[in-house]
Amino acid sequence: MKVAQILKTCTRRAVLAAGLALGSAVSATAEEVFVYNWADYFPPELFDKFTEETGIRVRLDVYQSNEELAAKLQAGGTGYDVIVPGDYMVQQLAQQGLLQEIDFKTLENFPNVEGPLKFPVFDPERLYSAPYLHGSTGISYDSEKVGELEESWSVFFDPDPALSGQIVALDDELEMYKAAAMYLDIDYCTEDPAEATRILELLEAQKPHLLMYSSGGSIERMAAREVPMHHHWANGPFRVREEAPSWRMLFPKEGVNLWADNFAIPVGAQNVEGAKAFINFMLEPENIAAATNFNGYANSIPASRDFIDESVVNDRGIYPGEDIETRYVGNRLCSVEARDLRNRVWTRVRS
Amino acid sequence: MSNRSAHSYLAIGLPLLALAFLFFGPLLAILAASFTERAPNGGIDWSGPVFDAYTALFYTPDLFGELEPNRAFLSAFSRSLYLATCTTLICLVAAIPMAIYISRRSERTKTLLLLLITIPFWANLLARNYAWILILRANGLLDSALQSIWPGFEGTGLLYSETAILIGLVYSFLPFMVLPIFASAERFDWDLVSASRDLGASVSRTYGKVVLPLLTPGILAGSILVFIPSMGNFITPQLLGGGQDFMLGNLIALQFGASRNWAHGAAIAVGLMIGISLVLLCLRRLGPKGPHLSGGA
Repeated sequence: MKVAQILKTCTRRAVLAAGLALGSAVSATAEEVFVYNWADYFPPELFDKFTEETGIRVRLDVYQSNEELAAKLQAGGTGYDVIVPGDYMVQQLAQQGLLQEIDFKTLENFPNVEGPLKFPVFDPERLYSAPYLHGSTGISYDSEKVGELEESWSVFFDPDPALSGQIVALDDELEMYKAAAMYLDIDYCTEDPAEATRILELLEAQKPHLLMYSSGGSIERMAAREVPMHHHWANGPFRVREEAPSWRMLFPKEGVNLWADNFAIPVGAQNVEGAKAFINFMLEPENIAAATNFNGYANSIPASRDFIDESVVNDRGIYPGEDIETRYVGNRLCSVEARDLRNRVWTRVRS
Repeated sequence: MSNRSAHSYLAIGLPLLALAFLFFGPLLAILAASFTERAPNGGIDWSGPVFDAYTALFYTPDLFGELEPNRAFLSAFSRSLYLATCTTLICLVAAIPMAIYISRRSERTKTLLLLLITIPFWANLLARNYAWILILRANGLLDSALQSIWPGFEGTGLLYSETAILIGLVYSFLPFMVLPIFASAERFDWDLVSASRDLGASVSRTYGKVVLPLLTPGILAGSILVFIPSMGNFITPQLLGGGQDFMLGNLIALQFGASRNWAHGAAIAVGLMIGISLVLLCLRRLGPKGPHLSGGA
C-alpha cells in the first residue's frame, strides 16, 4: 500500500501549509488557483515561480490514487481548479461530465508538445486535458544478484528457481493485470471470460514465486537491496542510484505499460482562467523540465531537454530511447464489463 | 429553566450529540451503503435497496457469470478468525502472569510498570509496525543479532509471513489484555490464596479454582479488547504480511479503494460487526452474569 507515501505526504502537507500560510499573510486578497495533485508530485518552488510571474497564489491538496480523485469529484463541491488525472481517468471523468471542455490544444504553449501523448487515445483532440509527466512500468533487477535476463515478462511470471520467493510485485490491479495480459498477448481490456481466466491462472501460478505485493516502500527496499527483483516504475534505479547503483531496468519485449498524467480543469472550478494560466505555465520547457528533474519522470516537451539534468536525461529508465519506446502500451478506459472481469480476477488472486 | 439544569442538559447533550454524529452517523451511512449497488464507474448507485452485496458475501459470479462460493471472503474470514484467535490466546498466556506480577508490587513499582506497558501507545501504530519491518526483514536487526551469536545463520525469513502478522498483532494489542486483567488482579484478595493453601489445595488447584475464576471479568474484557481489533486489522497484514494473505480488513480496504465497490465493502463491514456481536453475546452467556463483564475492567 501507499502508507509510506501517506506518511511522507502528511509531513510535506504540513510544511506546505505552513509555507502557504506565510505566503497568504503577505498578499491577503490575491487571486488563487486550487490545485489537486498526486502526493509528492510537484516541485514546490515552481508554485512560487508561478506566483511571481502571474500574481496568482497556489493552494495545494493531494491524493494517492486516480480512484480517490474520482471519488472526490463525484461527491462534488471540491473547489479544485486544476486536477492531475491519469490517462484512463481523463477518459472516465470526461465521460461522466466532470471535466470542462477547454480545448487545450489552443493554449499558447501547447505547440511545445510532441510525441505520442500530443493527441493520445484517451483524449484524441486534447479537449479535456494537457500532458504533465509520463513514465513506464517494467521490471527492475539488481544486476549484481541476477545474471543475464531475457527481455521478457517470463522472467517475472515464470522466474528462475533461484529467484523464486524473493520477487516483489506492485500492489496494483491495473499494472499486474495488464502485465499478465501483455505477456499472454491478450488485450488488457478483454471482455472474454476465457481470456480473463488465462490471466487469472497466470497470476495465481506466479503468486508462490512472489515475496509480496506492495507499492509502498519500494524505493527503501531497493536501496537496502532487500530483494533481487521488483516490478517497478522505470525511474526506480535512478532514485536509488547512490545507495544501490547495481539496479537496472528491464523493458519486456511483449509490452511495457505507459502511464501518462495530465492537467485538467474540473466542472465547478472557481478560477478557470487562473487554471488555464497555470497549465499554460506548465507547458513551458523550463518549467516542465523542473518537474522532470524533481520527479524523475519524462515529459512530452522535447525543448525541455536543455533544462533537464544530465543524470536524468541519460537515465535508461526515464529516457530509454526509441527502441524501447516502441514497446510502450498506453492506457485507455476499458469497458465496464472488462473492468468488472479485472476486478474479480484481482480479488481472487489476492485472497 | 434553572441554571443548574441547563448545565446538566449541556453535559448530557454534548456527548450524545458527539456520539450521534461521530459514531451512529457513519455507522448508518455504512449500513445504508451496504444495501446499494456499485455504480458503473465505481461508488454508489442509490436506486433502491438491494441485497446483492450480502448475497455476494457467500456467492459470487465467477468469470463466466456462474455463481460459486465466494472464496475471497471465506478465506479472508477464516484467516482473520484464526489469527485473531491465536493473538487472543497468546496475549492471554503472556498477560495473566504479567498482570498478577504487577498487581503485587509496591505502589511505586506498579505505577512504573504500568507506565512501561502504556509507553508504546505514545508512538503511532503505523510507525511501530514499520519498526517491526526493520527488525524482521532480511539482514534486519533480528537476523544480524542471530548471525553474530551463530555465524553462518541463514536468516529467519520471518518478514512477510503469517508469523510476522501474528507477531505484529500480539505486540500491538498485548496492553489491551494486560490492563483489564491487572484491574481485576488488583482487587483480588490474596488472603484467599492463603486460605485455599491452608485448606490443602495445591498451588495449581488454587490458581485454577480460586485465582483464575476471580480474574475472569478482566480476562473476558481483555479478550474482547484484543479479539475485535485483531479481527478487523488491516495495517499489520499489509505491512508485515506483505499483502499476500488478506484479512477481512484488507478485503474491505480493497473494496473501498481500488475496486470502488462500496456496497460490497460496506456489506463485509456490517457482516463482520454482526459476527462480532454474536460472539460477544455468546461470551456474555458463558461468562459471569451481571455487572462483571462490563464492570470488570
